[in-house]
Amino acid sequence: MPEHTIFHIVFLSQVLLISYYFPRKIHARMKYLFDNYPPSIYPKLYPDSIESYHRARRNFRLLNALILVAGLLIVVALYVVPHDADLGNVISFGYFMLQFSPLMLLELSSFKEFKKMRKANSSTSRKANLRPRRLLDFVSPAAFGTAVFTYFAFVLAVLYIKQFNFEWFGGYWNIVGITGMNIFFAGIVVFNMYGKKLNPHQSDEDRTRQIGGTVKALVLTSIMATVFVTISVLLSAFDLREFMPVGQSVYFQVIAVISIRATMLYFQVDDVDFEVYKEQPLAT
Amino acid sequence: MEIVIDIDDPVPLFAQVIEQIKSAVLEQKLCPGDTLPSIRQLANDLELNNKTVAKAYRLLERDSVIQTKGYRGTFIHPDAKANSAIDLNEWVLETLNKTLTEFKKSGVTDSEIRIAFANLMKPDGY
Repeated sequence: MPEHTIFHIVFLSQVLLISYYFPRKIHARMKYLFDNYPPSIYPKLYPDSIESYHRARRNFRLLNALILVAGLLIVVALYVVPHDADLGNVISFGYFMLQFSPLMLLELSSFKEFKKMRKANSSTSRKANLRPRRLLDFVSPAAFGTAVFTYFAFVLAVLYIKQFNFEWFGGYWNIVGITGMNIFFAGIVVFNMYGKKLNPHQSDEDRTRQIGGTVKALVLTSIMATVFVTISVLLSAFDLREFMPVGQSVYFQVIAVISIRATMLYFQVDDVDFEVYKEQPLAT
Repeated sequence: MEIVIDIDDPVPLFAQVIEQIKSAVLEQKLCPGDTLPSIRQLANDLELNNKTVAKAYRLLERDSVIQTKGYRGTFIHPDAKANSAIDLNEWVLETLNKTLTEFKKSGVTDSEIRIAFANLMKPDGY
């Protein structure tokens, strides 16, 4: 079956992209950071001992290597064992969640590090920019408009398909799911723009760049997720469900490219103002 | 335009915010019509309580240094520069000083002044 072969190739690409290519890039960036911005010169960047960061970096690499091996084994098993589209969907989704777990752990550990930074911060001065932050400062009106348009187009598509009363169709739950996702993303955007400053030393320019990267990635993810669900519904409506595992795997890869690659592009290490992490000279 | 406050400074935090915004207006770093951040944004950026920034904004609005236009946000007042030069605290001190000097010349005792002042400062004093 050609759709099976296409799925195997696309799934292999998912395995290699998310569990080999991106982890390698992230690992290299961590190493570059530790080598070029050491704790002896930038002590405020490391609230813990440097050994603990090297250990975390090694654990990140090991965890990704294990997930990569598991993925390659799944590819072989998919090739050998006959399977239907539903199993392909479950495997692609389940494995994607596994692939993202090291990144989620990394994200959670960064929250802990910022908390330690705030605790260790002895400075009594607080700075703020008097420029208000607005959503359209961080994302183009065209991208934001596309997200809004895509959402309403999706709602209309769901309402249209609902009138045919397909057995497999989730109906309004599709709208609830996508709306919930958008509300969650909006919450993250609001937290980034108006919430507490997590990194107490971060310069205003770096914070603006970080918010911009996050907002752009979330808007693009929202568009992609809505388009993906719409395409899934249409594939089912036109009795092309066997192509859904392929579509889902491609979608996960696009999401990974948006969230990881875009984030890495926006946060070039050498653009960051590391002066703020140096120890302040004692006043004489 | 950046403002810096010191949480260990004896000057109250809201007064530091007011002082810095007025200074920025006088130095023309902030011009009439410029938008200011929301209370929540500024409070979180400065790691202050929302009420502290709200108090600063309220007093700046009273002095016509800023103006709030509902959901559109907070802006620098058209007459902000002239109004930033006026120090109401200074004016209150000067006026009270003149009045107290007159009372003392007339032989009014300190306790009589305190009682009269306390009566006037009661909510139904006027």
